[in-house]
Amino acid sequence: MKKDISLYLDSKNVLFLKAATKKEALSELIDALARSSGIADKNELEEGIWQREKLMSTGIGLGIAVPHVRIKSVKDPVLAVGLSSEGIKDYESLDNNPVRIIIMIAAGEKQHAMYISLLSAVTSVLKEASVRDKILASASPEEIYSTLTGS
Amino acid sequence: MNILCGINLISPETNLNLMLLVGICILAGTVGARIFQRLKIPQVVGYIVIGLIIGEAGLKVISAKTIEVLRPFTYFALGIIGFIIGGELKTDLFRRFGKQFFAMVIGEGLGAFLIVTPLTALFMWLATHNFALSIAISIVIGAISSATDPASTIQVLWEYKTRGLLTTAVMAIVALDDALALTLYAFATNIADLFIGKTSISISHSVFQFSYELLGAAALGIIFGYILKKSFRYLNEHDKMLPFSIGLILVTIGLSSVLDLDIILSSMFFGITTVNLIPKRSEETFELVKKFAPPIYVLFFVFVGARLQLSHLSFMIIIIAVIYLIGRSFGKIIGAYVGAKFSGASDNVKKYSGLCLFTQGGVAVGLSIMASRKFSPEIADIIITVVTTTTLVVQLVGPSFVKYAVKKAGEIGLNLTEEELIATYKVKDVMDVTPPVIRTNAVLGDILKTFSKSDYFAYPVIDSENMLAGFITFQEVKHVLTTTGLDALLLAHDIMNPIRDITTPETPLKEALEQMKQTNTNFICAVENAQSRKLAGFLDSNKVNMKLAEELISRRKKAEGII
Repeated sequence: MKKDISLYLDSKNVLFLKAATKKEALSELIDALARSSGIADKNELEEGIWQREKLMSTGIGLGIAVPHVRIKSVKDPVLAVGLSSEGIKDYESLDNNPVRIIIMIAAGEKQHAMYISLLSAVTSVLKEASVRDKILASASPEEIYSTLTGS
Repeated sequence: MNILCGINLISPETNLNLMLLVGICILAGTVGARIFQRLKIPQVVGYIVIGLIIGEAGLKVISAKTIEVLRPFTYFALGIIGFIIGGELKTDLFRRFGKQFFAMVIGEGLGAFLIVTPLTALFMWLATHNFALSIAISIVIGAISSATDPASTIQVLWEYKTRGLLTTAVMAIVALDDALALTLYAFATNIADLFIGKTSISISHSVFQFSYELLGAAALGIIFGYILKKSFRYLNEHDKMLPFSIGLILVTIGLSSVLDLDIILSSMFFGITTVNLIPKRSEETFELVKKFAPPIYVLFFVFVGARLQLSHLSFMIIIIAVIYLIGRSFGKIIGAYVGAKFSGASDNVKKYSGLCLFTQGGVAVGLSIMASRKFSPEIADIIITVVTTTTLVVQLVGPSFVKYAVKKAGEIGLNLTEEELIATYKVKDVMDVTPPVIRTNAVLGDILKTFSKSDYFAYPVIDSENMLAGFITFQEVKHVLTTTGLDALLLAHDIMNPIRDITTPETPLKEALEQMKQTNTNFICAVENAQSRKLAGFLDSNKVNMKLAEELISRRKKAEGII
């Protein structure tokens, strides 16, 4: 599982979020992904992410959210991870708790199988309480990166 | 030196290269047919009208002399038509309907003869007060009126893909009534000779003459049928089978011409023998010949129109022509009805057969030319002009009556192949207008429910405004099922495929199927129109195939229910 994440997560895309709202938080992550090499069209990513959030929030409870999208302008799947120290209260999570860990996934339009297994890997890893605790207690992005990738 | 100089490639009248002329006739005929098809008039009328325009009666681009030079093409067309009609006449058809066919041929032929002859005689007697001349002319004209033109009648049946009892009966009647016309003609010329006091060839001689023509044609056709059968084992490839069959047809035509036999009858017997000796294996041969034939038919009918001359019309001839047309039409309708009733034919056959028998062509014109050689110029002129004029009228009007009759009898479109059936449909005719759909915000459980309720392989995904957003196949669902923990995270939106191909309800089905083939998918979504993304229906190739098969079977059953 962690190996899957290590393949697609760039340590530069792990950040401590300054955002207090869902909108700001997602923007920070989108900016991070746009800076990384795989994404050619930032607008498409932004529209895709928000279109998906409108259908149903990706806050899945336990302080976790996994916004995700498949779009044309992505070549290989990419991940971005954000940690909020305060918690994002307006994220609309399944358990109504503030969201603290956000992992954004963007994949290419035709990378269906890879996309599903990456989503599955991310949720399985985050379901372990020890992993979540370790991330929340991290002092640097590098620490979060190594927790998630097992490196 | 031009090696072709010995061959007459130049039209005697117009100096146009003959091949150029043939090409122009075929092209112009095809254009004419398309125009008439648009007007919902049988294509054969279009060919003839084009012939009229460019022929003797019109622009004179093509003259009678040129047509005479190109006569072999006409024979070729008649031979092919005869062969193909023969191919429709299997012996079990005669076993079942032989009596009916016979009764109807006698009925329609005698009907026309018995009505046209006395009416024409009466009018001519009133006009000329010459009893003998009146009888002589009218009995010959009456006999000629019994002939029907198989070519244009059959063309209409083919064009509208008809199948059923009426179609079968009409095919058999038009094919067989040449024989009756020849018999009546032989009888009539003898009577005519008696009245005008010409030293007649004895009746026994003329009985011998037409027996020779009929039996000779039958013998020739049967011999060639056997030859084709024997040669079949060496002809397992199309590129050998077609030229060999065409070659045999040409030899049949050539020999019939040399031996003074009826071309349609001998090639028809060739067809009958072939289809009955090797019914299964010859199917392909007939199909090939049918596909090869259209340019020759077009030329044939263009020539029919081009040959017609209308310059000799006098008042008396016009009246005789009108009497002929009315008398012949009623004679055919009443005669066919009586024959059908007497032989216990079905209602459609009784009611509509006569309407299919108005056309007249080669045999009638041929007999009128033969008659003109037999009689003095004054009689000859009347006979030829009446037959030519009425041929023009019935060739222009007759095909539409054939169409009307088969339409009324419900036999149009019952003989379609799958390909032809597809060509008649638009996407909207076969698409599922209320397909099971998946909403973009459906969760995995809902998606699975949709899959379980229906047997489609793929499902359209639509958004809250019913706009097409994508599609989901079992493939995507399979991926999701093999992973865990995603139930709360995945919506249809996440796993759907983007739409690549769409069609519209108004698109021809053939085009949509072609599109699916090219993209290697077995379904396609239809949106309201090219600008909209609103889902209008769903086309699944399996369902389309099932629908087409059902339709073909039901049409076949409908046709066979009355056969």
